[in-house]
Amino acid sequence: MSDVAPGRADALEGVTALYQAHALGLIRLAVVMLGDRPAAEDVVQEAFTGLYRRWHTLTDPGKALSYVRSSVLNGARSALRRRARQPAAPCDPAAGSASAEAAVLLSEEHSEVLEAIRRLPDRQREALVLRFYLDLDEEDIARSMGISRGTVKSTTSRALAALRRTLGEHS
Amino acid sequence: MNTIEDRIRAATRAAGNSVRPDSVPPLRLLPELMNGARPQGERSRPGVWARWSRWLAPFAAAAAVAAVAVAVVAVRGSVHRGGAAGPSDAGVPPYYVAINAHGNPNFVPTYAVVRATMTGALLATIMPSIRGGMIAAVTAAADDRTFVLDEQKRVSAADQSTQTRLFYLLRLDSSGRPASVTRLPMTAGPMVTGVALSPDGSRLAIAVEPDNDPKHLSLTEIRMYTLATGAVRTWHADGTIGSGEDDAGSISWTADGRTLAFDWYPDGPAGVRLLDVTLGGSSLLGNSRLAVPLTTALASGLTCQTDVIITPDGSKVVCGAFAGFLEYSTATGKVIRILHRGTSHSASAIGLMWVNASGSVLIGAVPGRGGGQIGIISGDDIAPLTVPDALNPAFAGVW
Repeated sequence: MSDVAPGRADALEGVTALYQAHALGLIRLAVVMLGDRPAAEDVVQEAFTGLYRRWHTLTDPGKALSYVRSSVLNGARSALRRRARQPAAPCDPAAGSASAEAAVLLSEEHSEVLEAIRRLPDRQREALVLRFYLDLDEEDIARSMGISRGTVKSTTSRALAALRRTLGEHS
Repeated sequence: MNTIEDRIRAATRAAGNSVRPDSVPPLRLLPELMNGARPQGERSRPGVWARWSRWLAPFAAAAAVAAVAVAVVAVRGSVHRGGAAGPSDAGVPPYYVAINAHGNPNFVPTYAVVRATMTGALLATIMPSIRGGMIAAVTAAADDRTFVLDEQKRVSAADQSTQTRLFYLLRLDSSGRPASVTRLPMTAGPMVTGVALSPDGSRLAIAVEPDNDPKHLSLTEIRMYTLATGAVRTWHADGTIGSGEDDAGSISWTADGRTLAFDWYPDGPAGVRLLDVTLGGSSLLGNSRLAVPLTTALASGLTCQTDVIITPDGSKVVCGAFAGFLEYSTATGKVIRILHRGTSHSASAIGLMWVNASGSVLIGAVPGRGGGQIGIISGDDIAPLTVPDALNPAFAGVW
């Protein structure tokens, strides 16, 4: 702690406490979004670095988790776009699928669902994961995504319709 | 049978649980940050913007001349048609417009380029007109000289609802170089899921999801603008068109300009519908018919993984799938031909960019060595094209 600049100790303490409490959940969230453990860890570390930089601009420290969750969503979105701009491995059934998931064998059913989720547009993918993975309510999803509650509803509905078509289930 | 919601919960939790609690790494804050110095990342920002500024500089000069025109950087050099060693052109258009992202730290679409189809020669670069802007989608008329560019400002997730999209008409001269770039009068909000210029270049169709109407949360509209007058017709229904934002290919026209095909995802059976734009009324479903149901399971390989494009003669709709390029009859809704038949499990490498009048010749992207290839597809054959910007089929080009 002696290396910490004066005035930054409270930021380090606050960010560290938040990391200890929520890093596991946020890395899991990023893995769900990305299917790639190293990339997920990078996204989460960058989100906490950003939080540390901006700690003193937070008007309500109680919203720090919401802030860092939004940063993880932004980071995952950028990572997916970056990945989309890179050529996929040719004719490789595992191309685009997850290294983390390769280590922990997921069922074919789970892999198929995850693949379909990751092909959704950014906003639909994020709304689904926040709703069905994190079990957030509409208000928290709206806050994390920077959209209205109504848009959360419609986006989730559209995403479910898209998955029903892709995965072959009718409502 | 489990509901789709149950399946999402089970799959995402299985993926999340692949991270064991004892495997979480420690927090790594940069030493410079903790010492109070300017963080390395912040010092590097001028570098990032220096790269951007190279691309933005041409705009600064152009903006001084005409505020409504996006910047065009013509590239000197002649256009070479394919020689004997090149692919057969099979009547494909000689020029295309692609989207590129060099210098963009997040690799999101940034600017457009005009290239020659057979050689890949760069003919012009078209920059966004706004700082931090990007050209997100392109659509083409049938003459291969008239295009519309969809420009938007890049925003963070927290500001999505404020995004506005602008549209520009790009005309090429006979050598494929830009003759004019003109701002069009219409704008759209952030959720544009399809853009299609009519074959004669006179009308622009845009699929839009209007936000924040509590009475119509799933509302989708197709707006058809007449470019000469700015007049607009609107059709609407509850559902979704296309598979996502920035998706210029989810709506497409027949050559006669009477029918607009759209890829429809309602809360129920999905498929390709054909909208007759000559009929009166504003009902998207009432003025259209379901021509091709698309509900086959992913595992069969016969589910469309790309945009669905109607052939100019209106007889078929075409899409890319794991099993090849599927051609469905618009009369029967059945698959009647599969081009470049094969098996792939890489959806990101499949793309469909252009179809000829009857669908016998396509320009598409398929998986292959080195990350896939883009070419002219006929039967099971592909004649590769040189497409320098084709890191991803979604940005490969619009013909």
